[in-house]
Amino acid sequence: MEYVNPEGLRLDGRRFNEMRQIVAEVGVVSKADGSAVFEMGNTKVIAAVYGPREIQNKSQQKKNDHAVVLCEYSMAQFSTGDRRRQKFDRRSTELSLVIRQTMEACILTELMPHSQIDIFLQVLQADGGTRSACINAATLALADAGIPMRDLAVSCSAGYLNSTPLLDLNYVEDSAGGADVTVGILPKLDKVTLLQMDAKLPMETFETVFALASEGCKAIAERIREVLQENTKQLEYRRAA
Amino acid sequence: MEGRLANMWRLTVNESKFVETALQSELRVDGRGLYDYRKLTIKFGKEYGSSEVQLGQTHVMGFVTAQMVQPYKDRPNEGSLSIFTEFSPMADPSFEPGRPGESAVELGRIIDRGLRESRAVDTESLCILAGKMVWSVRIDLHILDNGGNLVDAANIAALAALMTFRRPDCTVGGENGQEVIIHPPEEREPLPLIIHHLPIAFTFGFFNKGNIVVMDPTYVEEAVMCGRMTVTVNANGDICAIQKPGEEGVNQSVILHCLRLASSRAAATTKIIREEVEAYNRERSLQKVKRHPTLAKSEVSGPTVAVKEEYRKSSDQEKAAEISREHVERLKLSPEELRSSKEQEATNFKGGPSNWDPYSEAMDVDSLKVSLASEGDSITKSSSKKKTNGSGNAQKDGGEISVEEVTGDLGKKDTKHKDGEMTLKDAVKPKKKRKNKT
Amino acid sequence: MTTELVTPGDVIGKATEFKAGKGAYVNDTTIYASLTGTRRIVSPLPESLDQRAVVEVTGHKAHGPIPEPGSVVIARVTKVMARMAAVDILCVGSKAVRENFAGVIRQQDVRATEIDKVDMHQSFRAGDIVRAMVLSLGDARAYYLSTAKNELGVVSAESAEGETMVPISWTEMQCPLSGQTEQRKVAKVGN
Repeated sequence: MEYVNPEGLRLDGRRFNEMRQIVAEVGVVSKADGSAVFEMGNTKVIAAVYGPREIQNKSQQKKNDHAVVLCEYSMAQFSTGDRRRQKFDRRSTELSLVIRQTMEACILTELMPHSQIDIFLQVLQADGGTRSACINAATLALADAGIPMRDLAVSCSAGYLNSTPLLDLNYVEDSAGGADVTVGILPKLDKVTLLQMDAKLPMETFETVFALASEGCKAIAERIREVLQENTKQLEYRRAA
Repeated sequence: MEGRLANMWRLTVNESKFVETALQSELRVDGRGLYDYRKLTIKFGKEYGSSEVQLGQTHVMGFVTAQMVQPYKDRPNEGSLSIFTEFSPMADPSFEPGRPGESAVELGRIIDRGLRESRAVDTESLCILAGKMVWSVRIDLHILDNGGNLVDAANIAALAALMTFRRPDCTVGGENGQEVIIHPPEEREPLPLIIHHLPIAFTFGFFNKGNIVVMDPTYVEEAVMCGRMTVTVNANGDICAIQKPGEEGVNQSVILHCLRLASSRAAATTKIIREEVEAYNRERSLQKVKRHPTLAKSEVSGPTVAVKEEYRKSSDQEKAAEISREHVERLKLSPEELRSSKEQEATNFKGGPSNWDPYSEAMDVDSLKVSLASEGDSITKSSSKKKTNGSGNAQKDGGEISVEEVTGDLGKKDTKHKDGEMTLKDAVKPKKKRKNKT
Repeated sequence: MTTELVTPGDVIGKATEFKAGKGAYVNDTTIYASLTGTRRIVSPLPESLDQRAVVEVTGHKAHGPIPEPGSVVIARVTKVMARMAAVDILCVGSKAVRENFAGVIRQQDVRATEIDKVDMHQSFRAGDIVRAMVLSLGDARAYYLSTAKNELGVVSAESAEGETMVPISWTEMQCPLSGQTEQRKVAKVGN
């Protein structure tokens, strides 16, 4: 199948290095300490953060002098075309783990001993790149909750189809069987926290795809910064009024 | 809850500081270099598709089984490959019995991604009847001992098990051409899986804010390290999967450095696995000769043909094969004894006058032995004749080529094997008696 | 004072020029923001030794205070046992906490002298309001608190009649209705 036409346009009309439209909003769940909705094209994720609060299940506490970060990822039954079979499959267990460890690395957990931070992520619409969208949504929600972080953890995926590196794969491109590289970085510190890849890819190609995904991350980071600053301005405006 | 806390193993501050400080001067607690791998041993079980991998202290067992099932609707002409992990509390007290924990799921997913998404196993060849019947291959990975770096060990165990797995051959036939006939292994040789390439996982540990990279971390290092990355590569230099699940951030250059290290290692590990598998297969094919005496001549290759002819002569093959095996076992032991005595003989007799040897008394014993042995020689000659003629039905019926050779070599010296019914003990005892005499 | 909107990870100063305040952290020699909010520079007190200005980020969300070692807390006694008293922390400093934090006052932390002769039941009663200092983060369950100072101990207690008692000595409180005295580890309030 042709995923990139001779003019260099993809199935949904994007160029190879073009991202889908990003819509993000913070403070969408009133009960939560922090929350956000993050949309990337047709992928839509809602994130809610509770905490820092007292540890509920003491056995989960591993380090005494750090906050415990918990993360639950789930995909809504209606998020894909065919109905999801079970709620907690192996994929979501792994994703919960991966997202938790990514967020743990960017939260200054040593500032909040004896407390726990819960991150709930729900995929409302899945169209490829859900794990990236989840990390971005979680970052926004954590920032909204006012939890101190080293940097904004952002994530973006890139793939390789028809011998072209493609940024931000959608579902059709993702399930085409080509390589899929998901990168999570701390943009200002320029560190890679998350890196997942599957399918076969030669070394050199991987480097270009990896670089493309990193560039995508930086662009997303800019967008997230804008959203957060806009939100803060709004709040200050309202307080003044 | 209390129990769980007690089960959790924590490294003391001193220990972790020690490990980390040592690493800063490029030293590892077990004496390896930063990028050295632990010793890898692969063993195979009696059945097809079972493997046991030992990587340092880590011990993982892999089993592959196959079953015929209906294919998934979206992939009607592809078999399936699934991976199940079992983290037994025996291996590590922090593993809880029952539902697989997060780490078990992650391990399975990493290996799954490396094997399946890179299409290492040809799933299309597992199709029997498109849309109706396919083989579903299941890999079970049991962690027996956790000495750190479970992913790499489990991955190798999975590969080794897959490579030695054989599924029964089956054909589509019957009246309507829709019936699946499975041929038992006695009838048709079971088929191996088609494996395109070997994706091998390499795990790196990051220390000191990602500034120190270590390959194949041990259990202690895993407790100290601040980040981890598993890279799955094959010998062609392709990257099949990467997993860096969050944790401490590292620079891009470090990641690319790890990738290069891994791909430079892949060929060596591939070689080890292939060699072990080949050695195992060779052993299996030797055993097979005895197990399926009715094999058609055309199916037997090379040197075993001659054996087959001998087989056909026999009337009571089963029994004969058994006896011959016993024979081989007994002979395996005796040549060593004999060789050692022969060597002694040689050294002693080459020496000049008797006063040259300070242990002249010992020499006496040996010379006695030798004289006995030489006496034996003559006996053996006659006994071996006897075997071929009358009493040795074992020789006649079960004579596999290798057996023949061995008996040929040893028969001259072996004094005591006068008939096939003798046990190993019988073979050893007389020697003691001889010593007592002297 | 300059104000500027920042997000986590933004560079907000050099460690050689500034000290990191709230909502900021230091990595090597650079100060980064860890919160979303406005960056502020607070000039140092003239008498402090470190003459670097403090750079901090104030977020828009007010967090509940969290007890930390050294902070003085107000707590309510929930249970008195032979060797310790369990308490709920209500306030950290002058701020009320948003959720409950559990604490314990162990027998050896009740007073500064004769610590092995302390009778817990002669020092606290369930329902007492205590002022205490946080010793440490304690075990997995509770903070360790201490009342081993003059100004620490029971600040308010009710008698058997349900009336608030009046402190009459370091170890006694009296009920204004019945005139009955009860034993407590009394805090010195005021002055």
